[in-house]
Amino acid sequence: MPLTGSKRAAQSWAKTVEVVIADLEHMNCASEAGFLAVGGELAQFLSVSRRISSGSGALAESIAGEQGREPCDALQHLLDRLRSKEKRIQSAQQVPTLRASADLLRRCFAGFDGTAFAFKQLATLGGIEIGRLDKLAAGLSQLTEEMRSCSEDIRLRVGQFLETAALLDRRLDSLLTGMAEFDDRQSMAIPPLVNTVGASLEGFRKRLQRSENAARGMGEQFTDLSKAIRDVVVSIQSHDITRQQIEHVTAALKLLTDALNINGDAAVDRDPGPEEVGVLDMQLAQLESVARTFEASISAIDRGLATIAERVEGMAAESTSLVDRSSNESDNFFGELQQSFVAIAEATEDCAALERGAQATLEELGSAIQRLVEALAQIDAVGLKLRLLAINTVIQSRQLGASGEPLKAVAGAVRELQTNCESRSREGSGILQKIGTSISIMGETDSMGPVVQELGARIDELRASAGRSADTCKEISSLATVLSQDVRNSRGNFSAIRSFHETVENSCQALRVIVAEFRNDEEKAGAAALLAVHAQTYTMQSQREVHERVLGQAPASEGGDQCGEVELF
Amino acid sequence: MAKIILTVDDSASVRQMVGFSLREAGYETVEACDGSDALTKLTAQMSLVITDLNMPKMNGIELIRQIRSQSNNRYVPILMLTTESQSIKKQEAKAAGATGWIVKPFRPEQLLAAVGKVLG
Repeated sequence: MPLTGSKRAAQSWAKTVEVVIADLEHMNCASEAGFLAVGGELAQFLSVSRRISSGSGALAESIAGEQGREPCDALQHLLDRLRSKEKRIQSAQQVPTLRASADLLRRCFAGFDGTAFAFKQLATLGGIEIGRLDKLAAGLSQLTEEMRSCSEDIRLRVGQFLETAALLDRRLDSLLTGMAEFDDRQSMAIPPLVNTVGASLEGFRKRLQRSENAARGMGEQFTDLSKAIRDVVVSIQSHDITRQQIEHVTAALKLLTDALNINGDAAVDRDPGPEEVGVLDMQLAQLESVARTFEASISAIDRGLATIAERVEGMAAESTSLVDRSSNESDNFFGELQQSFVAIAEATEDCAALERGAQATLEELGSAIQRLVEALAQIDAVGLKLRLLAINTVIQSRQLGASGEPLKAVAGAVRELQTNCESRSREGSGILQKIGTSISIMGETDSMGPVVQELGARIDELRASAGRSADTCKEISSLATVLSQDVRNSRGNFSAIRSFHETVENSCQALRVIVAEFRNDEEKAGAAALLAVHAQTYTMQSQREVHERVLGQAPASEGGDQCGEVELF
Repeated sequence: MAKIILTVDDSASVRQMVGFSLREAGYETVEACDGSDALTKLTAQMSLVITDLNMPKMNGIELIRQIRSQSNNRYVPILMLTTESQSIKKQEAKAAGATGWIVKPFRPEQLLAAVGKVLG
């Protein structure tokens, strides 16, 4: 039997509603899967970006933290040592003091040669005189022998003394020349070293500052990223409310079509009654609300994902920049440090060689001084013997009366010469002691070798650590790049959900046509009364209220707060 | 040892978002899709229940009543997480034994602050 127009219309509107239900259910199911996928990835995004952030923090810490500060402190220590040495060199008085002492010693010993000659002459004269008097007084021949022996002894001692004194003089000359050269070299070498190490230190501090800034930047990016993720969490909930609203619409429409099916084919022969049109009208209104909210929640999630992608890309760019800058700066920085260390090592080795030479000379000087002191002691001993001899001679000459006068004169001269020799010996001893003190002060070498070696070892460690940091940086950078690609992919997949908006619009349009075709204005009042009943049965007014609130307020990312209240009982 | 929280909601998305927020803060979560499912999963080791109000099979209010009637779990704190903001529903939940009321959508920090307060 052919269908009447009314039956066709009835079958047509019922079928249309069934199609709307199927489309909406499919859309809800598919969009739910899409939102779940995004939600699942949020945790991954947050976890990976936390790794990136903490990796960056560790990286900055490795550069700017304890590991980086140690070489910085060591550089500062080296700089302090160099500056202190520079000041000491500028105010050094050892060389002039030593030079003055050497001149004094030279003058003091200048007469020793003549003294030895005088002793020899006096011994000869004494010998002649004693030989002359030997016939007058017994035992004088023994005195003559003693006088000759003593004279020979003193001549020998003075000779040895003078040889040692000449050696000491030469050594002192050599030491003075060496020390002057050492001071000159250090005066030339240390100021540039101070500048070089100072510049390295400054470079190092800037590098630390930049690393700290980079870590801070990363931290801020991560904070923004976390906020964007939280915003997406809120937007996904808003969407979920939309999804539930669609579920309720489909449930209401199903009840309507189920009722038609229960009544069999006869039921669909008729047009929809006012109650059915009312239900359709109300579900249309719900769907129109859904269409607006759906768009808003999708846009909010899309914006949230865009922000996440932007922040992650920012972190990737920051990491990449940190890698590049770190590599370039590391090369420059360690290049400069290397040059500084070569210069410091050369200067230190140079100074150390000079110091070693000076040290050897000082040791020789020490033994020469020791020999001189011994020689002086021997001269003193011989001088005492000579004095006793002279006294003895004077006594003997007194016994001989006038004939002993020449010998008495010789004895007096010997006595005077010995006193003079003793005085010079004492003076010489004092000067030698002073020289010894000056030499021992100069001998306190201020070698920076150990400091430089220690610092070198620390810088090597830092360089290795910087290499490891650069590797970490690269890893972070590639992780961030992959993550930003993931976010972009998620965003791309998610954007496909936008096509569902079309489904909602099509469903609305289909319902609009039915409602427009079958709504009877006279029955509107009755339908309106039924709507209130259906609102309780088929809709979730609270969800709609939430949506109105969401739509009426700015997105969370723009400073608005679309979230609900919290109350603890 | 991490505290365990049972989250009950018929929406997988909401369960996911609640779980995500809680796990980020160091809690362990167990999920149930409605009141009946929640009753089978609730154990004495759980420190808190967060439940939706409108769910199939058994709604949130009924779930609270059931939990409060169990000797083992009658004192476990229960937070309602719902789109409903009508005071009559809130009063009903409070009378049934709910500990607090959170209106969806929530910000993770709001949820965590409420959970933190409830768990002391």
